[in-house]
Amino acid sequence: MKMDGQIRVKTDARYKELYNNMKNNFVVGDFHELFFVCACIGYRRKKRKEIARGDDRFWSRTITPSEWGCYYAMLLEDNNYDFSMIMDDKKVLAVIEEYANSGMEILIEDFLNSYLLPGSKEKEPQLDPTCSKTLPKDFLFYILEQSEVSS
Amino acid sequence: MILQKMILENFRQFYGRQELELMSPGDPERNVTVVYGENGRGKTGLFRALVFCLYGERRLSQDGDVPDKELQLVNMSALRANPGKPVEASVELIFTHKGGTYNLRRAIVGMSEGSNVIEEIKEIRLRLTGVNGNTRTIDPKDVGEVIDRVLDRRVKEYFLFDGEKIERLTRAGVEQRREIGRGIRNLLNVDALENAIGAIRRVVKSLENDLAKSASSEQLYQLMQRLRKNEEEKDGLEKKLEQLEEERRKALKEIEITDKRLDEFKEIRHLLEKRKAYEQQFQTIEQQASEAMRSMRNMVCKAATLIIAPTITNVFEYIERQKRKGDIPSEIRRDLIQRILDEHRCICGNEIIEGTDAYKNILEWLKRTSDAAVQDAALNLWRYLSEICHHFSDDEDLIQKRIIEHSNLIQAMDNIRRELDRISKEIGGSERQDATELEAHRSYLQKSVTTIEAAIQNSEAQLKQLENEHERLLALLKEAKLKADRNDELSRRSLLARETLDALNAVHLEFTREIKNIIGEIATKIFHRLLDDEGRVNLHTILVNDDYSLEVLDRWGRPFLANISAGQRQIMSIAFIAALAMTASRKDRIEMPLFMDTPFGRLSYEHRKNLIKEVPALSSQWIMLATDTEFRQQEAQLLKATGKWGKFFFLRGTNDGNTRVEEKDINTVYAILQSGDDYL
Repeated sequence: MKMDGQIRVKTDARYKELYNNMKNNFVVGDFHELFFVCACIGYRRKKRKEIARGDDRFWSRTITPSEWGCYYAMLLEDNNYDFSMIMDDKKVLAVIEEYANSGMEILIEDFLNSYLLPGSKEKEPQLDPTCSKTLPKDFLFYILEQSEVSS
Repeated sequence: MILQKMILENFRQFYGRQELELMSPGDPERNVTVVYGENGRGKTGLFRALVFCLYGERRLSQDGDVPDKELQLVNMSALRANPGKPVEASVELIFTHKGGTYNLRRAIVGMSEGSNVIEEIKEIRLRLTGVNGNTRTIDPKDVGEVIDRVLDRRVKEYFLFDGEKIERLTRAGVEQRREIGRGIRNLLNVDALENAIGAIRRVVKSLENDLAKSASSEQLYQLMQRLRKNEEEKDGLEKKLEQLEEERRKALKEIEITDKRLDEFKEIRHLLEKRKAYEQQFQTIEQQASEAMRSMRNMVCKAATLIIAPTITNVFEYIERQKRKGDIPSEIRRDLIQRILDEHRCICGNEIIEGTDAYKNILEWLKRTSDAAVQDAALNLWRYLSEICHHFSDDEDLIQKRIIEHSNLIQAMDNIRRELDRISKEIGGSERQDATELEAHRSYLQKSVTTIEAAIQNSEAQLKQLENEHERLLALLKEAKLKADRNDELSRRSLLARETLDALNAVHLEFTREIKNIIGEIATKIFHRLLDDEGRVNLHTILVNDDYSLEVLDRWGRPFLANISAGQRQIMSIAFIAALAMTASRKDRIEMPLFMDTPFGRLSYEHRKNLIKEVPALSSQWIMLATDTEFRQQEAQLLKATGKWGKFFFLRGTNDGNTRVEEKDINTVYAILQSGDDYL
């Protein structure tokens, strides 16, 4: 639980373009933010999924202390408050990667679907360049809705 | 020229073959024909038929920008009855002119292809029966020239016209006036004189070239060279002057257009200001929306944290409980407890014996403690989660507020955009330039006009100098030629040609000046006969300008054309036409038919009365195409009183959208109109 900054955080390789698109379209500021959103969604739905084809997405040093705090909280709750489960950051992120992987699937299915290039969803989802300029707002609204659902 | 008969076949609204006998045989005094019909029944169709038959022209000046394909000449019913097959439409005109009888027929073939109709001129045929009764067919390629000799196409609109548009002749542009001027000179046979001047000028040039080549006298040779150079410079300067005039005309026209647009701007200035204010407001809101969007992007993680808020709260509360219980951090450090157990001695110095209650209690403490790293981690986590937990409510409120704010900004932008669209529509679209740009453009044009006018003045002064020099050189040349010993014959011929040219120029100048004065005088007399009392007092003289445009002077001799009404302009144009035709024929009446479409549209009752009283006497033939509002019982009464009314045709609409021409007895028509019956 050192908030280790030397870990390469992975996502599924098929989400590479989508991560880039979301950043370039100013929907999120950086990769770690989208990863965090996905992790939260996946965790809330209690869905973890192994990454089929891992691809280094960003360095853990970009993860903020608040995000780390949330990741640790998730693991603690998941493991009956066993603090030993959060002592190794690499292991923590390995679990969170699986939640984020699942969260991304949910995000695509529930929300991003209508913003994707037709036909891209199944293989390598990509944002439609002509997609609505209000996507950042819609995205935030969607996240807020998830919090209401979960509460 | 007297129009005797017009035969239409499948032309425009006239389905099948239809005839209009325009003059009663053997009764030339009854020279007025009325063609009566409601709007859309084909009055202008008859006018078009006449122009088409005489000149092969499909378009009338009043057609403006109407595309050719909309000016279909072949009757639609005839085309529908023969789908995919060619249908012939024709106009045949029989007229008399200077003792000859002309039978002119022009046909056009049309074929419908889907929704399109393709039309092609088919044939033209002119048969001319002379005074001696012999008939000959004119070669089709000569028909245009023969017809132009009867009524020059360039002046046709002086005789065949739309009454409401005739006054435009007083507003004709430079090019139009030039063209009309040529037609009028032809009508007056002035162009024959001008052709002669051109020919003799070429002879002079040729002779003087010969003379220059063989001139033995150095002085004569030098004079010839100087004269030739002078004439070349004069020609060049005249061309330059023409170009400058053209440039000036274009610039003035552009100024006129710009002024009109500026006037429009005056009307819409408040809208432009409003639009500008909205545009600024839009920009501000757009910027705010962009800021709000940026701010929302920074809230993504905070929002996501809300998703796992229960988890964070649970963990935070767990640690909090552990803290309250004193488990975190442990009240006694694990290493101290371990040392007490290992040494079997408490920090107070008492011995701790295994199996005692004290020993058991110390073991319990040991179980409840964790190692230092875990405790530190738990405490750190507690701090982070504490920070997050305390902001849940604020963060949620803030995010919702930002979303609502942004939505409101977008809504405001939509409203402004709608308002901007509405204003832009009202203003008239994006093609309008900014008023400032237009004003700058106008100022530039005005400067150009000033520059051009200065150049014109300069060129005119140079031309005057060259003309003086030309006269001086001519006098010197004449003297030198007379002195020349050799080339006597050539010198004499050259001299004679030059004198002939000078004489012809003088005749031309005198003739045109005189003819314009005569036309002006006659036009003024007729104008006064046609005007109402008030017009007679205010409008004194019609002047014919050098370019055959018209001017009217008021009783104080000031130009007044810009102030007269459209009706007065119409009357003025008719007076001018009458004067022109009378001058050309040297008779006291117009030897041409006046074919007027909607002649009374713009005229007051007084003007109508005068026109009906005077025109039948002025003209050899008057054909008027009138609507029910133009030709009422008053007009019928006035016309009957002239004793000149010979024919009446009624254009009756048929169920299939065509028009049938019905000739009516004028007495019957008169009786119907007087009774107020709507039989017509």
